[in-house]
Amino acid sequence: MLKSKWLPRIEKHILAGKEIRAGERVIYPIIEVLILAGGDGLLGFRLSPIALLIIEPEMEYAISLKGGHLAVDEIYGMAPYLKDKRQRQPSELHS
Amino acid sequence: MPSSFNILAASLISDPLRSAALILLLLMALMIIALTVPLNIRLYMCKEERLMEGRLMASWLGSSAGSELKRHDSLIQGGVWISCLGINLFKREISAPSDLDFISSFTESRRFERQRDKGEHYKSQQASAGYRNGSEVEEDGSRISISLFWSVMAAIPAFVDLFGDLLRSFFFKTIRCHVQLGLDDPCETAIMGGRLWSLAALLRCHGADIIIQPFFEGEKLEGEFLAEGGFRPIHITAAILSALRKKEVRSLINQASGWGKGRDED
Repeated sequence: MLKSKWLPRIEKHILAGKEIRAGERVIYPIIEVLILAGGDGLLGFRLSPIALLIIEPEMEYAISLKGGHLAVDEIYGMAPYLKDKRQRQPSELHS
Repeated sequence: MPSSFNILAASLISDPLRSAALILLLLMALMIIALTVPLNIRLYMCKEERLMEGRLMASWLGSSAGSELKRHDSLIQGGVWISCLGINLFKREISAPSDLDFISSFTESRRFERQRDKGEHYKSQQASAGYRNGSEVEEDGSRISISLFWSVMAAIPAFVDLFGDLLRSFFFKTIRCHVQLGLDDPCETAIMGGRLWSLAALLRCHGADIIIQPFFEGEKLEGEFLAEGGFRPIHITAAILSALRKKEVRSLINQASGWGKGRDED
């Protein structure tokens, strides 16, 4: 198949939104970002929330916004950098 | 020397009226050239990681003046220059370890220059003149009346026209803006990106080259901005003259400068 860098391509990223604090509980909206790029330029993007990652001092869990069950590890699998956030979180929470 | 030139020179010397007309024509030609040659302005701003740079330059008839500011981490370097036909007439560079130091060094250097140039005697004269001016200002302030207020109100449409004429006289040659922008929340970045894209689409219709790339993974502002434009001095002269043709503007100037007072009393 002929591939050209000028043909539009779609990139998918899973990112965490700005944290929402409720007492000791921290909620991260998990967002799916679809980027449509052509060559070196950006043609368009689409953001949609897919889940909520909830971190409490003793436990953490995820709620899927698309319906169905969603494990925390699944989210970390999609976005490994969220693990760093989780590791930083306990010290920030108690500060 | 050619004989025709000798004949022309001899006829000019012998006829002062003709030589005066020729000088007048030359002066008019020079004035027309000065008024029609555009004054070019160039503004460039760039931010790349920790380096920030800004440059503003104006050039007209072979002479140019400009200033630049460069910041790397907390070190700031600035410079001002004036040159004519490639020859540097004035150049000054300042560098400081922080913003506050930069401002204080700039103001201190200016103060030092003023003291050196004017001297103590001139300063005392300035102080007394300033005192006199202050008292005049106070007197003028007491003279401000309702009639002046209404003159200002009446002249507002004329000033709006003047401002519009000045804006129309300005032309853009290049607008280039390549920016990567990211806020602390991907959603806010997307909203901001959408707003900026709509503005960029409007400006692209006027030939601007604008690329705004949202950066969703953190806070970021990087890129460069270049604007090149200019105006012809004749447009500004024409705009000011057309504003002065209006009665409201003339009466406001008369009242503000106090010329009209003598006439009113007469």
